[in-house]
Amino acid sequence: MRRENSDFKTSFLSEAGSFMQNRDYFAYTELDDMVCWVAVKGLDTDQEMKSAELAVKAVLESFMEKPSLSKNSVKRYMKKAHQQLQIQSLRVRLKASIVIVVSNYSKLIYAVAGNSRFYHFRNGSLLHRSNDQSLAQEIVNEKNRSFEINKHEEKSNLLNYLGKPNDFKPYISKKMKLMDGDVLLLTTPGFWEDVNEVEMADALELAKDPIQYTDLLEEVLLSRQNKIINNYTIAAVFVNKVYQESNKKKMKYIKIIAAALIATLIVGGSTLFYQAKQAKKLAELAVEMKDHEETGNLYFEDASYEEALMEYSKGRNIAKKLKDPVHRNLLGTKLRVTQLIINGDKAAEAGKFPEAMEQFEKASQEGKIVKNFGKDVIQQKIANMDSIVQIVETTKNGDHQFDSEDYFTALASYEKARKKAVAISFSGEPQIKTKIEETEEKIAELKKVQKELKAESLEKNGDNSYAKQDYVNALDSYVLAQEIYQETELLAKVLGLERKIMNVNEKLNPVLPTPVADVSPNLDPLESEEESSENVGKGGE
Amino acid sequence: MISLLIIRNILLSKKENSQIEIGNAQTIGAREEQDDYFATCETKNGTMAVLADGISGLANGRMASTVAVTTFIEAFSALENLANIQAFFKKTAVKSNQQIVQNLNGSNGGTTLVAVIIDEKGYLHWGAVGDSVITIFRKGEFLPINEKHIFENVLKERYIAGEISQLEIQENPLKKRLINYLGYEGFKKMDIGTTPIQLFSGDKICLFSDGIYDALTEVELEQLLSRQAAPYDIANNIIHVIEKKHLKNQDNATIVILEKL
Repeated sequence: MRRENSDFKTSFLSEAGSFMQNRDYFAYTELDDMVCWVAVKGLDTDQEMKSAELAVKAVLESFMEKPSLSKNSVKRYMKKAHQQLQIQSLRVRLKASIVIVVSNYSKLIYAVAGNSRFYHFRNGSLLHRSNDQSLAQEIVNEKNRSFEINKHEEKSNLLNYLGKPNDFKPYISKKMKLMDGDVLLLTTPGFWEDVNEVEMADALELAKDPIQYTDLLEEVLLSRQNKIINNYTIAAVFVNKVYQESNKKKMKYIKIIAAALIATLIVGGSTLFYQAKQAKKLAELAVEMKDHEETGNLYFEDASYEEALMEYSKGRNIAKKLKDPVHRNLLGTKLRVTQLIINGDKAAEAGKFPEAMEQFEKASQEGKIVKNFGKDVIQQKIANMDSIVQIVETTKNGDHQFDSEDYFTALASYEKARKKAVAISFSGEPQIKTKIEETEEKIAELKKVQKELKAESLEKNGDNSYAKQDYVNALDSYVLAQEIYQETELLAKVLGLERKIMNVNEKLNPVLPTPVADVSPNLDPLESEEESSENVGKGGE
Repeated sequence: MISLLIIRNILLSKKENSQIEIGNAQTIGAREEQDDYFATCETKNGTMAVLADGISGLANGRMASTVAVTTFIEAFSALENLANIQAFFKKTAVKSNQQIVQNLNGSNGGTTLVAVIIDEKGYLHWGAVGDSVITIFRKGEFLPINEKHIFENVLKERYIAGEISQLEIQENPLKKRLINYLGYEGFKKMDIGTTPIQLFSGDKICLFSDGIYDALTEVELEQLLSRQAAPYDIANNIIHVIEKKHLKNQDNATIVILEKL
């Protein structure tokens, strides 16, 4: 609870100057035991991406994940921002000049990449100033030449900055003690190139709090009446009271950040970092985006990859609208991983196993970016490749057997393949199921034809017996044939035989009155048709 | 004309003692004629590269770019020394402008032009008119040299002066229009580098027409120029990549690369 036992007051302003856009960005977050301030100047000209904002958010996210006052941690925060800019450099190379200050309310560490600056005042005069990573600063350091860097033509010729394609080397300071009454200042070049350190110290004498101080400094800058005023950011921290360390052995802080008080400046207005209190519409969009992501995740878990793909795509489009790079990247990665899995499955189904393996490997690599997204599924799929090979082979055998009309063997092959496919949830299982159904249909057709042939031969036997006046055998044959026709639903034939059976019965029992055929009356027309055709065809009666 | 073609054919063969290796390539894109024109030449004073992008949509674009490049190359070849290089750029720009205006004889036409000279001591001198680009690719990064002469910059100045709003700039359909080029009566002066830029081994000085930077992103160009290959191969690869994109409105695209060995 260091924050409660100390008194740090922060105030800041960030303006576009005479330019159309403010590409500077400042934000800070005060946690219970740690605080982090970040000021960044965007150096690129990308119209869509705001590199400074991206960098600040990356630093604060990284800081809140693991707040620490160690050189390595601060280096890690810096690296996160650097990586973020590199990842987001899709069209234009994103570049930014950054200064980070991290404190535990009694000491601080600062870090610089480029020429955003940190000033530390004590007792009204400058105690320390960060060095720029510029050619002008290098000339001063190496050649020991003294000139005012602020006005030097090489002041913006940066040797290092966030987003540098190679050899990124930020400067990380040692720990520095803070004392009551210290004043910290974070600024971007738009401010310091026109206001020197003496003027900063002078303004300090007139200011009682950071709000007054930043306002005064802005006044000094604007009093120059320059035709062109660059984007400028001034953030002042008044250290009214530092946290008094106890003499006990210091413990490392391992705390889960839950209720962090965050204040952020968003260019052209102010918003709370992480709690975008923007328009209701944006909030609704954000909820919608999360919904799509969660639905996508559910589909993904259910292995409904096509549906998952659709949901991730919708979510990513909303993230683009919201200009939320974090979710855009996250959903973009999930989208790619899902697509790669689909590609892999399709390749496996088509029997292109090396290609399938390649797609799964790629998916595995991509997924690593987002906490190993889909790792288990992909590993399972890779492990299942042997089974898939067997499934595809067995299915192919089935196809050959089917083509050569060996339907029973084909069915056995397909069923064997399907059993394996179900066991590993193989995406090609529905196709195998269809093949099984087709084969079963073919077999059913064949059986029907077989039965028909049998029935026809029985009918023929009956006709022969009838001709020989062997009415008993004729009746037996007719009845059997009729049963088969009934099974195979050949109604016309059933009716035809019914008539023949009636004739036989008449022959067998001439005395008896004609039995009524067990045929529904509405079939009479058929019967009469049948009768006439029978008369012609068989020459009976 | 013929001498120029000969010079252009020699481009690819490096001079034995030269400290500069040159590569170039171009594509007609989706246009009906190639209005871009370029040339390089080496003299005792150093190496010059010139690239001009004749204004498509105006007649005589091809003529204007050819005249501009030829005038610069001939003037450089005739130059005794580099004592007053700024005056050389200025004078030659005016001369080529007059020549083009004369040839146009009242009809429309014009061209952009970027010219660089690398002297014997390895310093870069430059001049530019229009929206073609000179940039130095050093250690994986671009160092932009010239500013494009487009209407957007005028609008920005007017915004700074408080005359118009941001929205008026963003929505102005003419913001990409050229405001300065060779071949019209109102030709303003050429932008000329005030201090020579020291070059280092491995620097690639690139001249692009807008067909290059409109088709490729900065990141794509970075990747293509970072490859370990001769400038000629890199230039051809860049054009190859552009052609593979099959962009519907691909403008003529020309690139000249001068690598300091």
